[in-house]
Amino acid sequence: MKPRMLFAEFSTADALTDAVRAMASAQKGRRFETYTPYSIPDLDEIAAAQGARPSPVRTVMVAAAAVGAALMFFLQYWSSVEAYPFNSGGRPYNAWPTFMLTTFEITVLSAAIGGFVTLVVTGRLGRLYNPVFDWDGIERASDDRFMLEVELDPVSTSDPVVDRALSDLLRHHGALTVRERVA
Amino acid sequence: MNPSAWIQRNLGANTPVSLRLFGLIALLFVALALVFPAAVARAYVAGWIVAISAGMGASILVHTHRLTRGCWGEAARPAFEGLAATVPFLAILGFVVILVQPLVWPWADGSGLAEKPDVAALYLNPVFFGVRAIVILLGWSAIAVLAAGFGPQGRLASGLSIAFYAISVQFASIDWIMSLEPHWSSTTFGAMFAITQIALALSLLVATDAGGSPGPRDDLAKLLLVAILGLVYMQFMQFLVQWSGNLPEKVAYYVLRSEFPWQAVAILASLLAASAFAILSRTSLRHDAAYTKIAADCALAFVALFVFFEFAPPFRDWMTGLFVLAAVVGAIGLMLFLTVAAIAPRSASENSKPEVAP
Amino acid sequence: MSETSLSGRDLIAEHGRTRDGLMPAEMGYRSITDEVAGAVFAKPTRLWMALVGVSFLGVVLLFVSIWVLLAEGVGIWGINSDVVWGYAVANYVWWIGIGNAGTLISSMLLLTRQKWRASINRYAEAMTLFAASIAGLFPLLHVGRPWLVHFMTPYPNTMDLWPQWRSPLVWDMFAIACYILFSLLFWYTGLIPDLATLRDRAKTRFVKVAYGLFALGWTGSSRQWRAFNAYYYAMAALGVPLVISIHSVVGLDYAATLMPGWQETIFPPYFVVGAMFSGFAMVVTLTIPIRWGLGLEAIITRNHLDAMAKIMLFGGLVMTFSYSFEWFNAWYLGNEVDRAHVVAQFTGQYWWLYWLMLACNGAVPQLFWFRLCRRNLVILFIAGVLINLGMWLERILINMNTLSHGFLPATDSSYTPTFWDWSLFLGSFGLFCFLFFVFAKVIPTATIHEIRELAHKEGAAR
Repeated sequence: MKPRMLFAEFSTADALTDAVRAMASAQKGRRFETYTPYSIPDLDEIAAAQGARPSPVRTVMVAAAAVGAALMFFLQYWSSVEAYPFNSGGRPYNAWPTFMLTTFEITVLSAAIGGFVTLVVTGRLGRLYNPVFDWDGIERASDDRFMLEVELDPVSTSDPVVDRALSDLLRHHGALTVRERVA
Repeated sequence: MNPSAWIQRNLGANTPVSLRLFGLIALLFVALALVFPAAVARAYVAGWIVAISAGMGASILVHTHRLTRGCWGEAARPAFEGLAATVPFLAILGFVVILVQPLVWPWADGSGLAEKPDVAALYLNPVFFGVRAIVILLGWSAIAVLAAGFGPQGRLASGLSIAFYAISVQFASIDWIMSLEPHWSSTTFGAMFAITQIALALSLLVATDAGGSPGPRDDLAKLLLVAILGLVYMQFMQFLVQWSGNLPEKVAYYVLRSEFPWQAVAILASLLAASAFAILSRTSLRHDAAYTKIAADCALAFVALFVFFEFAPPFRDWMTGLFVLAAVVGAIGLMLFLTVAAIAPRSASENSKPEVAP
Repeated sequence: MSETSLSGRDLIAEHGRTRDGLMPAEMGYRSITDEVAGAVFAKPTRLWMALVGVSFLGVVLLFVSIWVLLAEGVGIWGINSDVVWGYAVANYVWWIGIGNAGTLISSMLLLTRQKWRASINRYAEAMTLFAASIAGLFPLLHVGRPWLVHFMTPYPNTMDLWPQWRSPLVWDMFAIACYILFSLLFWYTGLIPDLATLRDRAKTRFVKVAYGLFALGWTGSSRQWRAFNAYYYAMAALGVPLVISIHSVVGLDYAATLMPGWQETIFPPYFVVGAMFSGFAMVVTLTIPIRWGLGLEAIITRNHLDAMAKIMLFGGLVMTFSYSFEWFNAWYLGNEVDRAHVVAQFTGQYWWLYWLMLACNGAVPQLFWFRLCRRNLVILFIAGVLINLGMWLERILINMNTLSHGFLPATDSSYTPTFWDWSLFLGSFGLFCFLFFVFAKVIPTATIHEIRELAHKEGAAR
């Protein structure tokens, strides 16, 4: 069963932060998401306090870097020592100092690509349609409005009193509009 | 009769323990200098270079901070100023360096530079070495005095200080370290010496947690990370160019250093730098004073070995090597002590304040 | 879109500036979006059309030059059996220097939390991307047979041949390829939120879909911002060492040889500083017309230019010191060939170019000790152009001086650029300008989401 969604629009970042903080303390465990024109670190703190895990982007980047470095060094070592040993000015076949720069470039590139893929996957990018785009006025979330979307209970089991308390709380904290719909 | 009773009777006073310790060390030093004059002179020069480097690194960081601002400079100001204030005193000790030249530098007795007599006549000779050392040390003292908070504090003074430093550090590095091997040269050596000084000062500041709170601590730790990477980068580029070029007079530097103890020193130094990098590159670890202290200790050991690797090999003498290592470690220990002493009043005043509930 | 908002100029007139002078004291988010995105959606001016037209002529010249080169071979250039590296290699080094600076500027300003970054990083990064791509073109053409360039890549082949990993030229190919991909990712990632802004403001279906495709369905959710920030900051942190390694490789193209004046350990770091120096000069040269042409005086201020002038002063000092230490070191080492090389730089056949280069790179930046010169647009623009000229001369002279005056008197020769040398250089410049003008009309020239954040921190918007 699809949940009902509640959508509140704020005109300032501070109002949104206050409202989210108040909601998080008054009605614990609400599932919500904010849509803002720029990143607001306070929201991340609230989300972290509620148990949201930090983005795995950097962990993936470190792992990708390690794999890239190992593969690139191995490729150079193997091709100069095993596959095609060639005496250049009496330098050793395993001329590791000269392998370092290419290894480094590939390390950084692997991290960059690994991180970008993680950003796209965990940020759910690449899906050009998102149900949140159906709200009227959502286009201002990339301009000058700060949006909050809260998941209400599925229609049948919803407690109207609690839901009304939530929309009152949001209005009290400066929400310009509060709307509801079935997702 | 025990020694303390002897001191009490002969000096007529209750001398403090630190003074007695100092006397003992001084006696030991004189005794060693009589038995091994060359090794002690070389160790003195190495230790002195490390000590003055810490102060100069701090002074240049202060001047850079005055040009660019940032909270790290405000928070760590007592430590910066304390380190900078050591430079004029250490500059006075530089006169000993001028006097002991024949025991340390191979060109100081006029031999060994037959194929480039013009360099021996105009640059690498004891008189000009002394003149240059005096000019450099006077300039550095002025820079450090400005950094310690005396005289004009404007941006122009800082800009000019950095400009003078950039020139003088080149000649200091050539005179004091590079010319130990007078047939070798590297154009990047001066810049590397400047980064060594800055890395040393930053390691001292991070090791003593001069930042004090998470923000400045994070900034100082990041700067230290950059300095360590810069040092590794410069050394690797110097190595790669000279190893790849394989020209006899240039690669001789690394041929000597590929022998037994030095290669081990290089590997150990790389591991220490890698450990410091592993800790400092993680954001969460950078906020924790315990971890940044471990990283800074690794960095201090790395810088010590780095200087040791540059300074000691050309003497080809294990006794000199041992003495130089002891002097480098001793100088870092002394500077660490002075940094702690510079921070102490601030910590004391902080502790005396009542805890305010957040 | 019914609300009208005042332009940045009007806002400054009405409210004055913030304390650090970086933006108007009152500037709502809507005004910021209008200011930057408005420039994209505005009708193209005649001036812009004229500039695109002129630079397109340069693009045509470039393609004609490449066509003739591929048909006739590298003999149409001034290179000969002694001076084997000519304009193509010098142009490559010059362009990659400018290309490296954009990432360096953008990353370093982000990592050091410089508030003035948001206004200049976008086109600094665009500059990087275009300049690095153009730079990549030159070695490709310089090798003479670009259709065989895949021989340099490691892949199992019937000839059982593998790249010569000990050669800096192979490092170079990896460096450029990695760098172009990296700077594309860095630039594009920073662009995604702004592309979403353009998507949401587009008035026609076609424009909306076009921006929407590239915006990848960005919603601005906190989940996306978290991943975005983690990635973007990590990329900035990686960008600095990457750029340093890239330009060190360029320096090593010279330093890993045995030629007099090239076998210098300082070349890798000094090429990096040179890149930063010429890159900032290029950014200043581009900024002054951009802020005037697009009316961005509110968000690109004289304080931005002042800060960049100080960095150019720093770069100029480092370059001057590096030159003098090279001279000193040649003498100190006592090597006759190295000493003769330094004398030849000052008195040899290219002496006037060398003195001109010293004037441009060493003397001109000294103007920036004075506040008056740092804030005067005319002086800044002329100085920026002169520094770019000086850095280009430096790259040309590194090739010509050493190769025309090597170890043996028998190999002494000279280099005279031909028409096709010049045409390729001018053509590459035309392509750069063309790409840049098109970019300024399609993509926001400043980072809108970061300016919003700055406005919030500065109290100009709530």
